[in-house]
Amino acid sequence: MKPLVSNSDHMSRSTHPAVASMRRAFESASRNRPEEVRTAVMTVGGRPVKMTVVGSELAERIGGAFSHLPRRLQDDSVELRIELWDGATTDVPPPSEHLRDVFERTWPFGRSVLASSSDERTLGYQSFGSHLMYDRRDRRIVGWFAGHSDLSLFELGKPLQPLLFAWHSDNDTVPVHAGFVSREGRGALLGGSGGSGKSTTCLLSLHEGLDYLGDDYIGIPPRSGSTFTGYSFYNSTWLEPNHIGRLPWLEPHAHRGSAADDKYLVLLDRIYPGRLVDHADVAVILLPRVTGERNTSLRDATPREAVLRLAPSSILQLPFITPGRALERISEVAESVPAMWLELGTDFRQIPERVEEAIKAGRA
Amino acid sequence: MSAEAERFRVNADEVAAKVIDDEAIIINLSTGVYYSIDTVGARVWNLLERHYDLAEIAAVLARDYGVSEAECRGDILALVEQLREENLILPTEAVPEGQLPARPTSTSQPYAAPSMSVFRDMGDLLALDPPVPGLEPIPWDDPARGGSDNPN
Repeated sequence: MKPLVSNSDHMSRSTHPAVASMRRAFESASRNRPEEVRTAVMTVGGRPVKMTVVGSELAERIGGAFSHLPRRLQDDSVELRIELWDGATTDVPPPSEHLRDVFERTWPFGRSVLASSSDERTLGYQSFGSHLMYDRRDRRIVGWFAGHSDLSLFELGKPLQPLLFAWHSDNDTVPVHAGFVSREGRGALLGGSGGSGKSTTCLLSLHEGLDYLGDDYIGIPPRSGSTFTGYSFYNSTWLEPNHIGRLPWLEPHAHRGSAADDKYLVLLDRIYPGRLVDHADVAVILLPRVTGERNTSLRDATPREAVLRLAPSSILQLPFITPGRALERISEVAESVPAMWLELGTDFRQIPERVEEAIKAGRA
Repeated sequence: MSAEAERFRVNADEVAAKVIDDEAIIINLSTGVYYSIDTVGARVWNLLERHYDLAEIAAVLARDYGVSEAECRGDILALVEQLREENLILPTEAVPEGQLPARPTSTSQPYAAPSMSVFRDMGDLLALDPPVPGLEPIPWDDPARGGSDNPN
């Protein structure tokens, strides 16, 4: 069964012992290496988040995927605290070896593990070199990384993703499996699974001057007035070997993982400074598909086609979301803006032009 | 109990569903299979959600589409059987909730036997676009710094 969480009504009032132990370990790490403590307050999904990392190199590397998000000077209204430490730098290990030893429920997630306490107040995520917990009531993520030089591509590109998405879900922001590019604050949400041309479209659009918010997951909170706003999570993208052929200018910036990884990671904010934005209004939904023709064209799609493209992968891929609410939100977005098929041709120059046309023709 | 007096409920623990454009989109969270049911079928789904029994559903379709109950009864049974086989609905003793739902705009269309499209491609799609690629620990190499210690 997929790992899901419900509303917070039945959460215990006391902190889970595993979280208490992790926090004590984090405090030990802070005391061990006070000169290595780095703090930043940034806006994530429109909300202030304070991240404290013990380990300057770890802070820099984890922060790379968030570098496009607005920074804040004040931390008095923080809605999430993230506390991380670098085990190698601080000599402080995690209090327990395995999440299964401290949580009642665990699930495999790719090659990592997710966990939940029985009351669902506390969620966990463990990979080869990280051990993280999210206290939903306290609005805090606390975690250990083995060392800044042992981070996986996933931890570099999508740090804390399962637990951060659970926090977004707790804020009623639905992570939608879609790309999002914009012009002057209005954007095209691109739906489609692997091989549809979604990532290529987003990256070509960025290269040709559109603003970029993401090519895999976008956060969509409830509508404000009559408008839905999409939020960027990370400035990273995964490239497959065939992407490199189409987007050769990204190759020098690609992080190559282990031999077992078939994707490369690129942090886009470094390449396109100022062009990655954290939010835009959804003006149109585009459903890319590869045609093999030379030209790229737009054709009307129905809201039902948009939901069929966007909803199943959004709901089935991610843990810790509320499926009914995600389906409802995606349907509301699909009914509020036009949807179009983006028939992708082989002349790549046309693709960003059609995307921009669609944004202009979309909902004002 | 006759088959026509059976009532059902959505298997809410394992299913997310929404009627949009007069068509139902149903996602089975356990299997990853998802479904689209066309207009008349979406109407049947809508009534099953509200615990109408099969005879009552036939009566509603007859009213909405101007056909005989006998004509649509077999179609409803076939769709319900398919929904049961896919574990999307379960028997229930609950009685219908609230008012009869309003006629959908699609009832201006002629009656057609419900048709359910089944999409079993999500396993392949998730393999192409996994949620957590790149989890292997790597000797970290930052291209922005001109690092070159990567074995690839």
